[in-house]
Amino acid sequence: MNEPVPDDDLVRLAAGGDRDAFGTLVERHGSNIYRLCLRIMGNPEDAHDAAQDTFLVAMRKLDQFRGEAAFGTWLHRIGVNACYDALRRKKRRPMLRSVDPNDGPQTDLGPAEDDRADEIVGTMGVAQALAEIAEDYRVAVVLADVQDMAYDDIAKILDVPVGTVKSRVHRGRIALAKVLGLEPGARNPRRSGEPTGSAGASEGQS
Amino acid sequence: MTHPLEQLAPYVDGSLTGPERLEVERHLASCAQCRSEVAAATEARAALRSMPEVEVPTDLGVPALEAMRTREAHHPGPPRWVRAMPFVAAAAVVALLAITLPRLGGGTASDSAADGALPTAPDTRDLRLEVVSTDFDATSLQSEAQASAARYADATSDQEGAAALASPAAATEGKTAGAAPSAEALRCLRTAFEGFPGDPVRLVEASFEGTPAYLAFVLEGPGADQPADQMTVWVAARDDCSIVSVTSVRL
Repeated sequence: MNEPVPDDDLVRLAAGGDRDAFGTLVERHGSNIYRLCLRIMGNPEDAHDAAQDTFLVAMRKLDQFRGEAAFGTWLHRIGVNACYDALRRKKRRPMLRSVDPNDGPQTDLGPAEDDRADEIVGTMGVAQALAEIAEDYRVAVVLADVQDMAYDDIAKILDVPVGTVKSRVHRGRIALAKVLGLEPGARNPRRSGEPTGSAGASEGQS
Repeated sequence: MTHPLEQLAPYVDGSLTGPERLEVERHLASCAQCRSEVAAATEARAALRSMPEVEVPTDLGVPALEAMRTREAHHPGPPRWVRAMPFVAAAAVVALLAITLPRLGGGTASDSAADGALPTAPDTRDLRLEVVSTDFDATSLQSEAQASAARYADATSDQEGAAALASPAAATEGKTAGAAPSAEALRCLRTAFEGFPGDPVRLVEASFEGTPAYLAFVLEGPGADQPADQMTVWVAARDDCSIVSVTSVRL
């Protein structure tokens, strides 16, 4: 058996235009990135787009990869940003205006497709609950508890202090427990304003 | 009482060790609030970790590889001996290409035709540039590609449509067609994508995720006079003619 080529070598080859090398990187990290996107975006369609965007952006930035962090961590950073971008776009989802309204089938881009996730994603309870908590908390718990990343790496990915990461992960878990009905009683009681808490408020007291 | 809020997350997942862990345990012994939070966080973490593995689509790298292919189509990339060299050498080649490419890519359609690498459309065609105010994103672009594909694939099967495709100048006659704007759009797209096939069925000026952009809709087939089976949309930034996005839909 040949030793697998290290990521860093594949990155160099891919930066030089080697598509096979890039294809290997996608194979290696695709499931990880897709899982990240799925748990943040909450449905397979958006996750698919965000994951494709992640690799497109990564390809364009390959020559900026310095090997300071693992390639997977670097890719996660791009992936998280792709998801934040996608979430922002969803909030102001535009209706697609066809150039000629009489031409061709009209595709309704209304915000209805989230329902479809119900049929596809297993353990709907947790996946749906994740979608209910504040984005910053969701991203933090997905990185920590789904992707199993270390706090230091999450801090690099999110570009925030480690203390802030730990605080978001903790609050995110509690928010999730509340939505899942697991919580026996915690700070930020349910009746006070936002039920699932909002990241940014009273976090990162490091 | 000061709650060790930043220690509770690593405490719950076991990454807090040594004296810090003991410190948290001492606090928990006397703080019901933190105990209950730790219990909730532990349950939430267990729930997250019990989520099943998901089925992963196999085409996650397609737009990226497509964009690499279009570069390669025009410039085969560094030879093997360069690929084997350390990163610095590869970076130097990339830098050289970066210097060379825009000049080549920025050429006119006849330049592209002259070097024979591309199935270049006649650059004299007067393809109208549609100006719309839509701000596309990946999802809406896919939908638009699908809609356009349906429209233009249908058009090839009826005579009038076929004529329109064969002679867009005739089809757009009488409209406020802008040859110059569409030439600028094509130039920009060629600058962004060295392998841009240059034979779009639609040229659109819009924006993509807030970036003013030119969009070219290109029907692609397996060749040998087979009908097109794919619509690819090439998106280039209007201001600096850089790559913004490429997306393909199967027909």
